[in-house]
Amino acid sequence: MHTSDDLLSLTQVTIRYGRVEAVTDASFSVRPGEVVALLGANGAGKTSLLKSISGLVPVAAGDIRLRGSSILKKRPEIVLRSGIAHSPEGRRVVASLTVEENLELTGRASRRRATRADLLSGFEECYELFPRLFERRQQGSGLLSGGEQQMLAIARAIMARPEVMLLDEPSMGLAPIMTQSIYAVLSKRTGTLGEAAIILAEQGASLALTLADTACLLKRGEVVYHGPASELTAEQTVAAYMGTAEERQAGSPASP
Amino acid sequence: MTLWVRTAIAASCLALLASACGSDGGDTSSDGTKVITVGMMANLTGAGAPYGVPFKNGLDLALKDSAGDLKDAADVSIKIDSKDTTSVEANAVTLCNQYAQKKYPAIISDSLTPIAAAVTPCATQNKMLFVSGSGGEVPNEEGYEFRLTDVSTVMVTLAKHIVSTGHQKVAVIVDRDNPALVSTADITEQALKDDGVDGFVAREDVSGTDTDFSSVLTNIRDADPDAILIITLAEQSGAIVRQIAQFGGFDGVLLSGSHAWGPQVFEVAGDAAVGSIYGALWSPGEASSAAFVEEYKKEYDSDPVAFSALGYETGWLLAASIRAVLADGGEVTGEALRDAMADAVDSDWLKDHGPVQGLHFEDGGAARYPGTVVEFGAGGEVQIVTD
Amino acid sequence: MQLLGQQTINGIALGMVFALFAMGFSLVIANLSVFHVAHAAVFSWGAVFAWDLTDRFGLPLVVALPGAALLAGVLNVLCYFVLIRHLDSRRDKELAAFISSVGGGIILTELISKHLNYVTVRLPDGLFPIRSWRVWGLQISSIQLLIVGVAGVTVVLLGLLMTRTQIGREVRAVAYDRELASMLGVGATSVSALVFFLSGVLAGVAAVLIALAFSQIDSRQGNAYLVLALTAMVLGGFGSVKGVVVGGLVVGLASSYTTAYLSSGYRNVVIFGLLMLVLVVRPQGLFAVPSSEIRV
Repeated sequence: MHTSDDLLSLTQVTIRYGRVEAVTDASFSVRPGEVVALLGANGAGKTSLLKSISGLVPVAAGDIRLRGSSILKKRPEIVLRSGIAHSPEGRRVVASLTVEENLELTGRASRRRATRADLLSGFEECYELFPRLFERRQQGSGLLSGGEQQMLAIARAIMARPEVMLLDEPSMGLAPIMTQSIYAVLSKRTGTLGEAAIILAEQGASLALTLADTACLLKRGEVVYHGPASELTAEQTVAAYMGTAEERQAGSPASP
Repeated sequence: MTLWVRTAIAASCLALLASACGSDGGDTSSDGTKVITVGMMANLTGAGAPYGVPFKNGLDLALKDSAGDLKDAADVSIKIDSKDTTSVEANAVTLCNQYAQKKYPAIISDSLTPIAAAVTPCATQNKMLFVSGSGGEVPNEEGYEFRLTDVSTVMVTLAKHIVSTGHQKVAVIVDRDNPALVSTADITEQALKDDGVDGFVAREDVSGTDTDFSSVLTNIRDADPDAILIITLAEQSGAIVRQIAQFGGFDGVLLSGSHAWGPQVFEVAGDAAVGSIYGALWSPGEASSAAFVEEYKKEYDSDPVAFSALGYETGWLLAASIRAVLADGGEVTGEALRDAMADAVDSDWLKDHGPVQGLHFEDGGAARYPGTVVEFGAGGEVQIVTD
Repeated sequence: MQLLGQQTINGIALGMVFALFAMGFSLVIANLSVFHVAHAAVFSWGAVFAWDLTDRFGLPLVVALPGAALLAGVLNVLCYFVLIRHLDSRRDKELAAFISSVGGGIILTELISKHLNYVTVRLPDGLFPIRSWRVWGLQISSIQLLIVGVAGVTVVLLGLLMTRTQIGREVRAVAYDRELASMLGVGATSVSALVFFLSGVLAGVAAVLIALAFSQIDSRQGNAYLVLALTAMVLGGFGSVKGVVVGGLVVGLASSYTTAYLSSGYRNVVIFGLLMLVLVVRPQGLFAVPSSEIRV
């Protein structure tokens, strides 16, 4: 499955929580700098897949490789240090730290040899992308608005200078205008955001597809489409989210 | 498992059980001398250890010293079955019950009133003579318990000495957890009043487990005493003396302690204890004890303390009462030993060998003898300061 | 008035020790939600280490104090790996770790008894110069100054470590959300080990000060302070370093004032009465930390 120009590859990954199978035989790969939209309805397995990549949930079967070597069973902090930064869903920031402390925490924890200069250039990059964070850098991050917390979560991933960024639902629960401004930043594709491959997990397909080179569509834990984003048809998307026309007519429950 | 294996195991269990039950107070040794075994609940570790260890040493020495005479006079020898209580009452009661099952005629406890109080019912119920080195009064209607520490007389002596050396304002620190020490404080207060002082200027209770005395000492300093009387167990007293020195502001104040004091106070407090005095049940300086002191030093390579003397006294007392019972042709039972105690105390044999001078027992089992007041010297040695 | 002032000094000195003990305990609670009662035994061992270093090896206090504190820290790290770490994957890990810690504490206490041969020991004479001064009618002893000084410096250093360094940020991140912290590159296990180390060091410092002040070292020493330190922690509101220090001082002062104006026999009644009262009036403790910023 793995080819030499793949940066990250997932091979027949299966994830189980107890007896429930959240992801079944999922395979896809990411090339350097590529943006992959990981789409699917709520409960389709997007978050589980991202968590398995960063070592937060165990993989029951299959393999995950970064630059050809397996990262299965690596602890999350080791995965981060080897180049995969994860911005979790729900805008999780360390509320007991200030904005800048959040950034510095990851900046130093992700690269043990980071110098003061590395750190400052990281801050600079983040603040340039998100001027709001600069204004609030000394504030407790628990006091930020939802959109600002999302900005911080993305900025924090940037501080790790990753090769792969996993962004889990950056638009979740945000006002449309805030979502748009975050996507505007993501679409700039400069600096770290330009160099790193991004796996963008979203429920709302349309916005993510504007950014993505490749789409990966999940339905009840299975990959039902993996190919160029431009070739993903509306029917396929609707089928993945709502069930196929036949399934709907048969009255089977919509997924999830 | 085959039948014979099970039978063998059962048989060996029975044999073990039988051998465990076998020993009682009346074995006979190989040379035909009757052996009388006496149970001991020894406080060899824990809070009672400063008293228990020297007591046991004194006891062992007395039994050794009296063995020859006893064999000649009554063809009998005494054996001690001793186990450590770790100074815990429940352990002592368990031991007492074990000794009762083995039908020992007498049991011994070295110190600690709470242990004596816990064990006396067991001794009474099983009709065993119970000699204790403690001092606090315990319910003892049938008179099986005899306690060798005389709390009152020595404290009266101490109170007299404190007043006669010009001290009028005496503050007291009392271990409220120990009834014997609480009553010691009451007795001393009465003695002070009898000597014309208005009782204590300050009275601070502490718990036996306390370690920080700064608040208590602050209160005491506030009362501006010229003497402080510390009525707690020896190690805690040492800690208090030490903290008094650390705390400061007590210059020229006489530090004094009860009969519960001993060399441990100096070991803990160091130089801070120099010049402090206490009411000693017995002191190695007593003229009549020279032989005992010398022998004890030779045997244990250390100076005897008051509780060594009490232990030594106990050993002779026990031997004397056994001798008295056998001289009357009686059987060595707890009851007989109890009844023979009065004769034993009065016997010349005990008066010749026991280091505690003028000992007698009151009804209820309390010992009475004068005691002395001693002072710590620069090296921790004690000097008698009373006449 | 003078009595009040004097008892206040006593209470502060005592309270600072409670605070050190409580701070170590609450660091662990914040980090793992584990009620690590073997902390009391680690405290006792801290005093025993100081005794070993001074009485047996003849080292001076300036070496023995940090030495005993470091050893106590290392012992506490061992506690983490032996008693707690392997229970991480259990669903009832907090309860299991608590029981495990209780058992470990009993074993450690017994080991002290064995090590000390069942007797109470004390630090050698002259280890620290004993002086006292009269200032404005109040008597202040060198030991009290040492306690307040060492404890104060320790608290400030801990505060700086927590707020100004990467280590502190990592500890706070793990306390806030263990999983999130690991996604941010923080090794939760190594941070926990570090937290147990710091906690043990705090216990060790407190134990040496206590051993010095009260000239007594035995196996159960820590247990007496455990409940008082817990009270300090709850009073202070579980949260910040500041809260625990204030909680410790409140308990220390309550203890002193009770002895001064009632009787030492009422000490525990007053302290725990105060605890109940505070919990009724302010269930969140005296210094509530906003829930968004919980712990350390």
